[in-house]
Amino acid sequence: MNDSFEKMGPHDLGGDDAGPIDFQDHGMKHWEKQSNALRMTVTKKKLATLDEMRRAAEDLGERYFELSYFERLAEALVIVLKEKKIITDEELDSQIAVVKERFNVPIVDLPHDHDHDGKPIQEDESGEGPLYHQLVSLAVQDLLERYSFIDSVEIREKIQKFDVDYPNRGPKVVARAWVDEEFKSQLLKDANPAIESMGIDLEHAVKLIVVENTRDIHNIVVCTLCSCYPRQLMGQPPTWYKSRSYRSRVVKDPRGVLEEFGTKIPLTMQVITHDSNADMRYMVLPRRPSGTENWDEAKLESIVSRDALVGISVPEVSAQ
Amino acid sequence: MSLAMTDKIISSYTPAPNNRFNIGDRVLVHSNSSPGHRRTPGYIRGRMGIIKRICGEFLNPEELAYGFDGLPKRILYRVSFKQIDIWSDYTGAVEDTLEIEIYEHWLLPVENS
Repeated sequence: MNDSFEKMGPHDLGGDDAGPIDFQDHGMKHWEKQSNALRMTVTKKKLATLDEMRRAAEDLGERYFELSYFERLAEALVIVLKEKKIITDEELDSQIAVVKERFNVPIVDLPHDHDHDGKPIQEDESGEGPLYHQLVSLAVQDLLERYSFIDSVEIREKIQKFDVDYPNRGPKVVARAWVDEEFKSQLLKDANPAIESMGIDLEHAVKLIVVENTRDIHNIVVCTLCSCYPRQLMGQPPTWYKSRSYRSRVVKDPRGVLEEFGTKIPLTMQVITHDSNADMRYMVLPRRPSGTENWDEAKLESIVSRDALVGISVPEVSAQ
Repeated sequence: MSLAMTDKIISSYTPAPNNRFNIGDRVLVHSNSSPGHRRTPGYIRGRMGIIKRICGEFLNPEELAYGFDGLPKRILYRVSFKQIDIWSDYTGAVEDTLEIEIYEHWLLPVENS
């Protein structure tokens, strides 16, 4: 067998050699949340497809790795909206200038003997003034609002859903499956109707497959080509899930990557690695740990971490 | 549950009429390396696997990526591969597998020997 293969482009990472995985989650800055909400609103309204934005990002070539995830996303969105003649370079540049102006608001009047090294004070997260891609993302939102494609309330509500609603859903589904055998069997057979029967609205935006960890099988999920993840069920993926090293290594060495996260799976168990590469999305149903026999759903939810829902860790009951 | 509720319930799986492959069929992934937006990663091309699930019909991402309508829809399969059939130096258990979604036009039938 010949192990060599041709990569499609910078995004086609599966099987690459890569360094250690930074398994801290770095959270998201507000502009990244705005950029993410904008992207999701644009696709929901069919102004552009996810595949167009993926293609635009892939075609960035070497620049693909020079940009952070959300910078890439902002640039890809601009490329596609320009192709579709929804926005022009001129409009965007002039709106970026307008947006930049908005940041020139001192938080407090400075004492006269403090000149901030001669720099104007700009109100933003870093104190250094807005980043270029932040301006781009806000300017794109302004333009789409101007043409009534979207409104700012939708963006705000989407950000709120990501902050408040989506992240709590996965653990609720797991807890229900742990206490209700019939629900569990429906969940594994056909996940969407089972989850929606709990009153969770998946917004027709995600088709889910739930895979079960058992005594003999451990499941782990990755998207080697981009960052596919059931956001309407689990919120934002952790930073490492989108990282080059995780996406490269986990398809070829799932056990090594699991160990790096402190999860050792014995060789007597089968590891199934799921590459979430197209239209379906995946959630791992972890094993219910022993010592939780008398727990109610609320308490069970509390031990289901985001990491466990992609199989990189397993729920544990801390020793009392 | 009210009738209105049941109307809204949509399966994870869409119908896939005239499917060329069935669950359990052995398949080979095309080695085609023509440029363009593809959802078939390099590492899985030319590998042999087994159909695990039929996910349904979807607009073709290779067309959608360039602003076309994505029609005709393509049937998407969940295909299971032995890790040792993908990576000759795989160090985990021989039973370990990888599952990935592959569109029908990327799959070739393999005669059972």
